[in-house]
Amino acid sequence: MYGYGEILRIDLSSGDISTEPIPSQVIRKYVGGEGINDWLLWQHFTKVDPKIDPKGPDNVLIAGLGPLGGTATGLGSKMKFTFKGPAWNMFGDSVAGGTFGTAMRYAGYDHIVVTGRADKPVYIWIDDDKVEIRDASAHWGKGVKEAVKGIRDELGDTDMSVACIGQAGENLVSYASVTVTEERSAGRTGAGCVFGSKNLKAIAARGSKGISVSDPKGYLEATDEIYHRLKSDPTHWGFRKNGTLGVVGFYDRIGGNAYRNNQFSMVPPEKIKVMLARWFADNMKTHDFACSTGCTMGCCQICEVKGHESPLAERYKGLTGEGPEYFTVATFGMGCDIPDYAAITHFHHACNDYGMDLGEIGGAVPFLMELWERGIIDEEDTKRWCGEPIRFEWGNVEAVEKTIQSVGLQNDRLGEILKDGLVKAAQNIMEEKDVPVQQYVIHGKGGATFHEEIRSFPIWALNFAVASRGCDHLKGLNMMDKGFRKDISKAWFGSEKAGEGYTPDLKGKAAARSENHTTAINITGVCVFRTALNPLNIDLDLMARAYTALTGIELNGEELYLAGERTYNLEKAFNSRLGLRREDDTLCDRWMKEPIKEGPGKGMKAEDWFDDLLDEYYEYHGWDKKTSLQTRKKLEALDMVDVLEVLENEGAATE
Amino acid sequence: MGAKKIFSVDSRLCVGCKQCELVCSLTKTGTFNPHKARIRVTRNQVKGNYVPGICYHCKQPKCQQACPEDALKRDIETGAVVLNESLCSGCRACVVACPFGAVQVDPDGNILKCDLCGGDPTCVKYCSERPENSSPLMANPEGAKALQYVEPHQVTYTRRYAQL
Amino acid sequence: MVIKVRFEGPIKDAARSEGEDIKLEGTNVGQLIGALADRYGPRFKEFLIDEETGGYKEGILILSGGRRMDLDTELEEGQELVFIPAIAGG
Repeated sequence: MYGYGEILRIDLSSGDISTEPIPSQVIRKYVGGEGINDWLLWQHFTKVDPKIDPKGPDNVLIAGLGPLGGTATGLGSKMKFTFKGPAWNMFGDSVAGGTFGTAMRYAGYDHIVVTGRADKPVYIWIDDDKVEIRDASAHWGKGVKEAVKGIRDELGDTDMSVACIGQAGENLVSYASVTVTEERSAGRTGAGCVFGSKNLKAIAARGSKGISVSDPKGYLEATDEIYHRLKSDPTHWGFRKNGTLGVVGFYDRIGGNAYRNNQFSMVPPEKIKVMLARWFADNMKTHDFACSTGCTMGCCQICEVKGHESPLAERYKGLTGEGPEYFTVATFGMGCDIPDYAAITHFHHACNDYGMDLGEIGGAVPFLMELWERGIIDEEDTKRWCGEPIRFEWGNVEAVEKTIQSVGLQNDRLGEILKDGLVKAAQNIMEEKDVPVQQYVIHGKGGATFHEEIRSFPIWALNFAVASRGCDHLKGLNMMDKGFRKDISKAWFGSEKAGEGYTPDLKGKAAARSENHTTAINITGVCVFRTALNPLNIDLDLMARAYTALTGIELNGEELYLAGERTYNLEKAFNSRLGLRREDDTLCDRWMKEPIKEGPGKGMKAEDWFDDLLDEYYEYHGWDKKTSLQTRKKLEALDMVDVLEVLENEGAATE
Repeated sequence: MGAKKIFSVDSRLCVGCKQCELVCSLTKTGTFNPHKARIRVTRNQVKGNYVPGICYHCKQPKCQQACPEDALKRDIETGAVVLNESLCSGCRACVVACPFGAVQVDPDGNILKCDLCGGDPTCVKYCSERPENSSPLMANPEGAKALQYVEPHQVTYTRRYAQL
Repeated sequence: MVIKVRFEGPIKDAARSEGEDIKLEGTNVGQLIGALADRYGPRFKEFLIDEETGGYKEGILILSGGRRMDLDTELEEGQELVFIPAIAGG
């Protein structure tokens, strides 16, 4: 079959390894990537009770890359891990660039399904048809860099693609991540924890079979069109140059940054100045670089700390490798108030090496810093927690350093408090101190923390409250209200209102459609950054055209959108089976009740419009407003009667 | 007509996307498979940056000199050193002889040799265009690429190779 | 009137300027862009304005106080405008 590989199944309990083709009717319905990952997850949990402990052996770990991943669209290749997420105990998936996904595809496998639990630490080696489960005891206990080097040395290939966990995953930190070579992180929802719970240190892959193409000439024509469209988008040069770091300056202008645990949404100007992309480019960047195969955007950057460029640079002198992303700057730079790229880059690397979601850890430290500022915790507490009287004052790099280490190694009380995420950490601290602290946790659905001002941007706020994998921006990535994109709003809804900033108008619909649209991109396997942020530029028709040339399967943009919607509905259905309902689609107190103190969105808070927008959101999805559950009508229209039957049996769908 | 065009490579601008490998294998084999590409991008393990490895179609090609079957010939039109596959015995003398590691062997044992796509190299066409100052090391102008196909006097970074 | 303009990201490259205080004959944003194009050359205007529709190109934003300014938005004396491409991600 052109453009597709097989499904590889590995059971770590029995050691059984088998392959099977992807059923053609499944391809028709879910296309690939996130879609077929979700279908495999759904199949697994029709045989296994979805309410199982996600850290137990009954969970499943699925790795997948969509059909356009590893090909030459110029838009990159983003692979996904899918599983029941241990971080928020609901649907979990996590995305990464890097070379592992493409290596897997070149070896002939689009999806890998790992079940069971090995009785001792192992890693999986995939070398075309040869698939082995190998002893990993020599690599267990090591950070990602050292472990990857060890595995590569052992296999005699310095370029081997490896998806690997650090100590955090081994120690079952619920938000542990998987680092995909070279330094890309499948960060959120706890993929690394699922690896660790299966005694799986890593998956290494190399492939020489490649991907067959139905119509090479047609494919290159589609690529030509993508190149042409990208060039016509004036924002793309900035994205190629600065990647997500460009967001720092843009958010500063629209009041989109979150400062000091989101108590503020404007960062002092002298601090913003040294966190701008320009500062990084002028002082630390050495090269641009593409995080994944076939990405001509190349929005990532390689950097070097020479030792004199910033106040903290001397401390991190000699540091080289990938630069941070906006998320790292938002968490450590703004959240913890450490406006210093040398330190931010170091923390970025440290999180990737211990293998933990830097979003969650970057939420934990600002939270503790706010508690410190409020006098709720002090040196006596920190001495008791980690043996040292660490001061959690704003800007203290020692506090961040110690927190990352404690969480990764799980060798003290501080690590233990933070092991299962911030909401649980707040409970732990409340029990110890007998003071309520939950109101200082910045989080959305499921408990995931996030550092961005969203109260003035209702589409993003809603996305954070409803995302199938918990509070996050990547499930419904869009620029309509943050970028004031009236043109997208007009094209999608016939009205410019969703593109008008700082108002709730049409934002519920926009959130719903953005989810379906972003998922439609994700099932193809390319990166969402250009495609979802500017859907008028690279539209779904064009992506469908590249898909058809690759696979020979007829598909248009509308059908691709529908497959995206189907996939998102599958994720919703999974969560409904776990008992998630409307009351779970929510945001923390600060976002809901506290008005923004300053900047363009001053005075805005989510509770003023939240319920109305949720109604609008469910309605657009065709789900029941009262419960949030999917309706019979909607699932029938999506040709998902098999899913409907499961839901109806469990009382998790409505008429 | 000016001198024949040749490859120019500037690794400071290479983002490691490997789009060149993908379009090369697509054009030559109808598949996406870096193992079948005539161009190879390698990672500098120390610095973390990438370097495109191309055939320089040298003035005095070591591969041609080493070939016992006389299967490598210069194309008068393009200046490319081209492999005549029907004469090739697959002995790999050219692979060993090339000082740049630019002659490759695919997983089936076939010799892979760049032929400049008949004078319009596909890899150059799809190489990522970089924004202004994308590489602070060279302060590049907007639209600069790691791979260029230019007249010899326009070659900058790889000049010393091209003279071989 | 005098308007303060600031350029960010690739718009700065297109203008070859960080921005300046400009004395303007007209009264709205469209007229301001026309005046700026006279100063910085046609590349600047091409970068911002879609020739076919006459509107902004995709993702181009002109902000004042964090709010979007349309081409027909009227300007006020001393107003500060930021020319910036809209992006997100993380």
